Amino acid sequence: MSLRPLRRTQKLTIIAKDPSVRIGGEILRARVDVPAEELSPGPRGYRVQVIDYDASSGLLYPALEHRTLENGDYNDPFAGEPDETLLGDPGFHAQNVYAIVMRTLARFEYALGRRVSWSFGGHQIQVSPHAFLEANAFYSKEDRALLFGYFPGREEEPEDVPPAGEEEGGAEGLQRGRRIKPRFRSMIFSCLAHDVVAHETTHALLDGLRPRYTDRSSPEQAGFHEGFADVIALLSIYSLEDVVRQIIDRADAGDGGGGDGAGPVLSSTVVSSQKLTRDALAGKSLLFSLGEEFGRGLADRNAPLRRSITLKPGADYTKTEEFVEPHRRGELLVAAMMNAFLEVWLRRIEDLYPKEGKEGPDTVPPGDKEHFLDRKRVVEEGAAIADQLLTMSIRAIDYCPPTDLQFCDFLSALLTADRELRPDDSRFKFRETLRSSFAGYGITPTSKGDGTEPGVWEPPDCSLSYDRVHLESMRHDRDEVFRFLWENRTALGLDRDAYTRVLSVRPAIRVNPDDGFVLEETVAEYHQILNVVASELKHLGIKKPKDMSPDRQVTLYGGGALVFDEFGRLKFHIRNRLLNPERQTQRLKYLWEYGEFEEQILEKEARRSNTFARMHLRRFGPQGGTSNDEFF
Amino acid sequence: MTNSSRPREITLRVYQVGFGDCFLLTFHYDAPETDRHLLIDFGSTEKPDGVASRKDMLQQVAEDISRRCGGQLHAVIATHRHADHINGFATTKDEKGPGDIIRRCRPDLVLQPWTEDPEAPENPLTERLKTLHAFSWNLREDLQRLQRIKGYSAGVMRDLQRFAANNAGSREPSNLSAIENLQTMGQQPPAYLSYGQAPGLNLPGVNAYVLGPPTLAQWPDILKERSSHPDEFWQLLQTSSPIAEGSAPLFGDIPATLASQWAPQNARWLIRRLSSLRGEQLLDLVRVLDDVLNNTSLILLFEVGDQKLLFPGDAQWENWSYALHHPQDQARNEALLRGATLYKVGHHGSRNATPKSLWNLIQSNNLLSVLSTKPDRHGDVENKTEVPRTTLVRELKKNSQLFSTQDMGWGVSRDGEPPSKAFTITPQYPKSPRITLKSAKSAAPPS
Repeated sequence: MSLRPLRRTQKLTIIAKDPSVRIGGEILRARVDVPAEELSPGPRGYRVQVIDYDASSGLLYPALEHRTLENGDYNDPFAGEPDETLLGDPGFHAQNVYAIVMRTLARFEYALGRRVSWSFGGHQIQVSPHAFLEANAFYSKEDRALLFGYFPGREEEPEDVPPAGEEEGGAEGLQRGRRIKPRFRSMIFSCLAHDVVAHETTHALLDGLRPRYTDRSSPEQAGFHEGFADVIALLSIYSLEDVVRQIIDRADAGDGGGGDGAGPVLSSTVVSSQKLTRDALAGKSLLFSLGEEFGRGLADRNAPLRRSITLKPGADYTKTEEFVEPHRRGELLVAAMMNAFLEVWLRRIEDLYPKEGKEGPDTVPPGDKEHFLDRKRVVEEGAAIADQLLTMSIRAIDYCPPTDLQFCDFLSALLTADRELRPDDSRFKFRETLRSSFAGYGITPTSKGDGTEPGVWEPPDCSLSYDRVHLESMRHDRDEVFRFLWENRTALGLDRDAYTRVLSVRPAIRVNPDDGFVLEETVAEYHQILNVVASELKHLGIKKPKDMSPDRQVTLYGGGALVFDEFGRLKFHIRNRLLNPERQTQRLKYLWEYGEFEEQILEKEARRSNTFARMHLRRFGPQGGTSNDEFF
Repeated sequence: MTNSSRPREITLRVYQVGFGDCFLLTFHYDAPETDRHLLIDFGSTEKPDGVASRKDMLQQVAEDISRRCGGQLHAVIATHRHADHINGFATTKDEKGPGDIIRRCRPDLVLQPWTEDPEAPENPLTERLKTLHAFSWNLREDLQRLQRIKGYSAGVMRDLQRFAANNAGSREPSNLSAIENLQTMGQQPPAYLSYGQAPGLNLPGVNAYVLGPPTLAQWPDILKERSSHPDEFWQLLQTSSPIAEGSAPLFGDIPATLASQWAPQNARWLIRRLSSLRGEQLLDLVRVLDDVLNNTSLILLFEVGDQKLLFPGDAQWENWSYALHHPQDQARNEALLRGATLYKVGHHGSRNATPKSLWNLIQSNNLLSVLSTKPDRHGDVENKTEVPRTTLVRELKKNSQLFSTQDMGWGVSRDGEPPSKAFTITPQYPKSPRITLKSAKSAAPPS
């Protein structure tokens, strides 16, 4: 037996964005690090199990086997294989989803400094890369699975062909008995789209971290799941230098990607500053879009699924009916985040400009408009900024209230998460940029700030008792944290009549990249549920929705996140109070007007099938825009 | 006004067709005017219990209609294209089909919703209806192969079969002949109607109103989408199929195993779950499609003296809401609907087709509600989707006089008449609030 220590990570080849993004005519790939392990055929590992079953054909594709090399390294069987193999071998598809899901999970664990669980309670999520013939992909909590569809990308009008057994021309009438057969270009596999896979994985992880975010609450809470998943997917991709290099190359070549899809190959080591403008980087670049190949493959669409970055700041989108729809609402979050990414990156690029002064190797004459910058450095800066924003975004979840999330809460959480770790924002100005970028979409932080910095959560303004709880237990024991809550229920402003439950107690350990010191925290979340009848609402200061019958059962939710420091003292109490009349009135009004009120139906629906699969269909639902009391 | 210029009596004959609709509405006049017979829908997708053949049943019903109208219909009204409303109009090559019999009654006029107009300029709704029919037709064919795949529950397969059969439109040969028959059987050019148009009927003393469907220009909401990506669902649909093309493996030479024959133990749980999920996904798609077609239904109101007879086809909320929320006409429409004396219950008693804001206007002890349905065929109680909806039936019984075809049996009388129930209504002029149900005859005893 070898005494050589086991490797911690292994490299696997993935498609960097999706098969439509090419360089020199070849698919852009990346070799990414994922946690190393002895994989069973599938691949099936300790957190991710690929089972390649296709429910549309009933076929099971062979499981991929990874082997350990003689030198102790792990095999990357598709490194250097031609594109045809990547597209045509289900084994590569299995590896691609395995690696991207594992990488996303590892990214969450790195950011939070702890293991992160799937929401369904088990340890291993099952992934089906060819689950069904449909342009769809989703996380199914009930099936403990990530499911990716495939579909033929269309390029021509469908043709009519006779059904099996019927002779050509035998049918009467134009359409009688004919089957519509599409003429398709090639299959589009959602499992090969990095952004789609990362997006769905994020749903599974976020649902584990904050299970109440799938409750019906507001357009913003539903939109958050979508927007956050997009943000994580996009930033995960831009943290790959190969991808950022493509953004630069395309900007440099003036190629927006709408041409032949071959992608430029540039050999220069420098890039002109005039090519690195906001418009050049974001205006046309297909790399800022989500679901590029997927969206273009759909008939009549020929556009990516989402290009949130094109939403211009300055308009109050939240007031429009269009942005009530969850995906659309989520785009505001994506636009604010991605514009902040661009802003910080552009500023860092400017910092790379040579100083003006007398002629010399490091200076340029005053007034020079064009500078030639080190291409590699520009790429590294972009990827590093994406990586940093990705980490901040994930960490922010610990600082978000566990129920009824609004984008303004997330912004305060983002600012706080970063400030706690890196008090000095002067180098990248992330927080300043985020505040102004979000403000451009009408999103201002929930918190006014703590007096030292605007927007961050304030420390609790109350005197708390710690005498009857134990520090060690407070770091992991839900009952101990509940005791703390109950002891301090008045000071913490809890509703004492509501059902109260501590949902989780988790450690969070982060390392400050600037000084190497460790920040240790414990994050606990609780929620409260109160059942009342509609006629009681006015006594609570809550306005009953118009036409709601007075004897209808109404459930109110509230809750908070408790962030304790390393000494077990409460640093932050981030909450949505159960008896907040304004917020509860808004929530009930929204649920009532959009026909999403009847909890019993919703619970049954949730049990029967999953929330994310139905997101597509719900907006086409039969009672759109009507209250549930419209029907018997 | 002379007696001949207004109907003396009205007869509504409700046929027992299982799951479907078929109504013969007759306005009786004194001489010199002659009676006017209107056939409102004629279709069935589930035969009544005790009937040997649905085809024979439709034939017998067609013959009975022909006999009762004396071989002369004034109008045929096909509220929308669902098979359970139109497949009785299907013709056969030997010209002995039920649709051939109706055709020989030489209706003066055929009324259909605007979405049926073959000359209508291209528009998103009719384009989507074409997609719907194609999807349903493909689904029907694929379902036969789908049965080989384990994991699709019997209930899901049953519902998929029914939805697919009902929505295949002109792709289904019998529906196509019905559609062609409806387009050409009228003596006058066919009328394709939308909200607010005059139906063009020749019914002295009767005001007829078209309360739906609105056109797209009038009410874009009839497309039912709140989304900012209105095309997304239809794109999803175009890429969706219950089964991979020909069940062929996706990857040429790479061997694939049919999971129903053998699967490794670690994969079996997911295989079962995924197959079951897939069935429900398909069902979700077709349910949305079903609703879209329902919302193209003609909504007709006949006003005769003190009588108001309402025939909304299978219209659901999105169709109704235009008339009920019309910026200018709302008050008039509410006044028209208030005090209705006869209501053909929408969509066989499903949950979504009798919105409360409509019901609050029409409910009364003087209202006769007529429900043509067959229980245990669609939806389930747990999800509040059963047809007819239990709570709706309770309300119809409580706040109107309810007649349901599910209380009728099947058995052809000695005269060869299929079971039907006739209601005779005597309008009062100029005003009298009472509705008189003079006779309620069942042509045949329950079997």
